[in-house]
Amino acid sequence: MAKPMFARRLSKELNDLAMNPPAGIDIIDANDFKVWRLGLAGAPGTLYEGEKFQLEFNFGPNYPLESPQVLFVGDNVPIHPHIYSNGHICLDVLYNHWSPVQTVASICLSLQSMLSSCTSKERPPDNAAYIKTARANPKHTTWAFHDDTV
Amino acid sequence: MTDEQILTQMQAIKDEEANLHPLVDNSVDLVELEKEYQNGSAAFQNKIRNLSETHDRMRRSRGDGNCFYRAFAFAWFERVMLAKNKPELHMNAVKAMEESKDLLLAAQFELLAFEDFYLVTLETLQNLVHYTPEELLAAFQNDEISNSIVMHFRLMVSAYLKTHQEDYAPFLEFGQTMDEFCSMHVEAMGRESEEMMLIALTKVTHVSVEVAYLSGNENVDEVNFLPFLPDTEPYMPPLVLLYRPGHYDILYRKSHCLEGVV
Repeated sequence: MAKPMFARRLSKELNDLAMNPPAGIDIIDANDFKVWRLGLAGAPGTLYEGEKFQLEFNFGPNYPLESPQVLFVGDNVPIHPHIYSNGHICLDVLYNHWSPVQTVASICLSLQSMLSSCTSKERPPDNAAYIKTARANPKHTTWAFHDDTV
Repeated sequence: MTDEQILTQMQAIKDEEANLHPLVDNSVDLVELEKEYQNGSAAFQNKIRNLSETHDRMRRSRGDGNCFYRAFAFAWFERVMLAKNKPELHMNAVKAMEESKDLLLAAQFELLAFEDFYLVTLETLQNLVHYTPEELLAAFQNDEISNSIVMHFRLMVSAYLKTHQEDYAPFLEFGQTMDEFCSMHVEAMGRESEEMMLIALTKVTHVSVEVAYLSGNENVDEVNFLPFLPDTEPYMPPLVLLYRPGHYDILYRKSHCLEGVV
């Protein structure tokens, strides 16, 4: 057990992402085991078709026992009822429903499916208030997950 | 105080709590349990006195929501380690562990996502043939090894429940699927266990368990023991766990005559 667990796991994940990239997902930057940037393309036939987004993953030394910090970055943050304009994402598996069986790829796919099932492009109703008070790390927000249908 | 400061302080309290209690502690004489209740109710005191006629030691597992899985794993591995004159215990344990990999794959878990936990668990089990009791305890006190084992045990339970849905789905809340139940209550670290998880773990590991329920019920003086049996004939005496509402520890039964417990 020469390498710490997070490094072993992330090198396998990186290898797998490079060998079998899920449709619409590509690695932009993964030069260390701290911060990765991935590109996410809006799926064809959805409200986000043709759009490109960027996701940032921050991994702590306890990954995958603890969830990574995941947010949208760059100048195009998807307009979606569960995504705040500062890039924070309201999705339970990123916080209190995290399980170490999730991977970077499975999170990307969950986010893609969250976008794909969206029927109306709008910000969360409390967006203005939230981004004024939210801290940089979305894991420090107390999330209330009330609607998983959109 | 800002939210940030509150969070930092909460983390500090948790860390302090963690530093006070190792993930798995040295075993202690059952007198220590009696001491915890010396100012408590007569019901507890009588039960512990009765319990100490048949049991002489206990071992605490940290109350971090993983206590059941950690206590079960330690009690099992310790039993295998101490029985160096009975290699069949080790063979059966390694076999059950190797089979768990196929069970997880059958339950649609990704190898990539579980193999690190699986390999750490299997390696620890394989190492038991030359571990000393102190080395086993040290392994279970090491965050990475200990939490990997807990995680693999959680995934074994989840995989068993998912592949035996017809038997266990009726116990779920109305409208909840087994996948939802497992992702919420089994697969995430720190989620407490209930009887369904206990039953599943005995079936996967082929290890029987007796749980001693210590409660403040005034009407009985005896601790109530509940057996959990695998589908196969048990190949060693049951592990014994002590249950107090919300928490599991390990008990040592006199008649099991375990030598070399630290």
